[in-house]
Amino acid sequence: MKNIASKTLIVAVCVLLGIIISIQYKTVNDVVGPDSIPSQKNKELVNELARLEEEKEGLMNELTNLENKIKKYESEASKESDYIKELSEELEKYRMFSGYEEVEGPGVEIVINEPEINDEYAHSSSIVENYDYLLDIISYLNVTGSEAISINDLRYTSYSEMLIAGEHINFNNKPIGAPIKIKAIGPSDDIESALRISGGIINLMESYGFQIEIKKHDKLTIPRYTEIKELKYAKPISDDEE
Amino acid sequence: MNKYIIKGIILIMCIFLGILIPYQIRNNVEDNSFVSLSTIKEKQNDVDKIKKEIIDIKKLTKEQEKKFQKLEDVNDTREMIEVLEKDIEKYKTLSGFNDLEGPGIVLTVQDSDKEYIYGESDSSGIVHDADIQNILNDLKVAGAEAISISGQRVILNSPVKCGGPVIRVNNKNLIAPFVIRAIGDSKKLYAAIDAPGAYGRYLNDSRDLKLEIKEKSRIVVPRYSNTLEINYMKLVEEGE
Repeated sequence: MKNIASKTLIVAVCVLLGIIISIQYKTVNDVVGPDSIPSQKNKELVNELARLEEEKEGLMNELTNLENKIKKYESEASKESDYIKELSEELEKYRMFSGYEEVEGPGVEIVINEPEINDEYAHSSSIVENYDYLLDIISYLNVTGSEAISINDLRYTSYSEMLIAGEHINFNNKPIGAPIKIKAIGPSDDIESALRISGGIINLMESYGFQIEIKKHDKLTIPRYTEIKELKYAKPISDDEE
Repeated sequence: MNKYIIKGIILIMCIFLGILIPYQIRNNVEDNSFVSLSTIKEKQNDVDKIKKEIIDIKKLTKEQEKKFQKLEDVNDTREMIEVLEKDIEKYKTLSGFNDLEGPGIVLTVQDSDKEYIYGESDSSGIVHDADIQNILNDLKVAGAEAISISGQRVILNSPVKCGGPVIRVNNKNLIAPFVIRAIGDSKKLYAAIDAPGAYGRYLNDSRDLKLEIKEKSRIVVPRYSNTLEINYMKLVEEGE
């Protein structure tokens, strides 16, 4: 009789232990998410990223130094002649506009986060598959007179394209993905109200579960375009021929 | 009596073990935390992005070095003016302030012939701003170097937006048919519109819009007709 009692007790304890372990497992899953992986790979990437960022900064400094030297030549020359001064100012204007200078000014920052994985939105929850939303946002920004735009710190230029490549978008030939950060220099009040127009793009995206944040800044810095663009097919029409 | 002492010791050991195990697990959590797959993807994208940027910056530095050497050889004002004028032309061409010519395609997009049934809300037979935006993006992917829509040059801050029956490009109202001219590798550009799965093909097949593409050995894309005005942005000052 005593034997049976102790055995039952052990069974009861085992059942309790089983329940506790499964509860614990479920809680961890809920907190961390279902498709989690140990952080070791993440750490490696973070380290690599830090190293590369340092390298990029060094190279960028080198480039800026070089360009400052070039500008010094130009400004010295412009002391001698007003025409040269005019020319170098014009050059600066076109370089800023076409994206070859880092610029600053008032503007807005838009941060787009993908909806949390959820059956309700499962169909169209990825910004990568819906990159035409980004094309539309850019159009909205341009309508309101933005002067410089960057997406995830890549300058938007006349030649910027978006192409789905697997699980990310190629923008300026470089991979970008969520979260998307769009910066635009221009009249920030106008831009915000244009984007927020009811039935507009932000409305539409929010209805699909995207989390969008629009912040106005007095001073935003937008990086320069880093590619060399050369036209292979198009040639200027010279006025002499006509 | 002895039996009870042994059992007591076992009980105490078990309690001790029970305390020790969760303590150990908690200690390990910080080192071995879990991150989600999307975080890893994000980081991987960033790493790939920066790697490519570094390659770009190296190339750009080389080009600027060449320019610097050229400037060092400049002796008088006349030569300096020449160098500057050449540079201005280069950036004007890149940003759309010059008329350009070259091989390319002419694409005409027109609303569908479908008859409108009174009261229906289906607007798939009309060309929308999003359609044009997508076509422009496809052309850029295929390496288009200059694009115009019905005579309006598309530059980097050209908005393409619907406004009732018209599409506004560069603040000019355009009405269908839209004639898109793009300079570049004409075969690639043609494929960007007409290949199976391309957006142009979808407009033609599923939406019944009328698309017509012609490859041309020489087309002309006009310059952006407004002047360049910069009101908000300025150069980043040094020494920040």
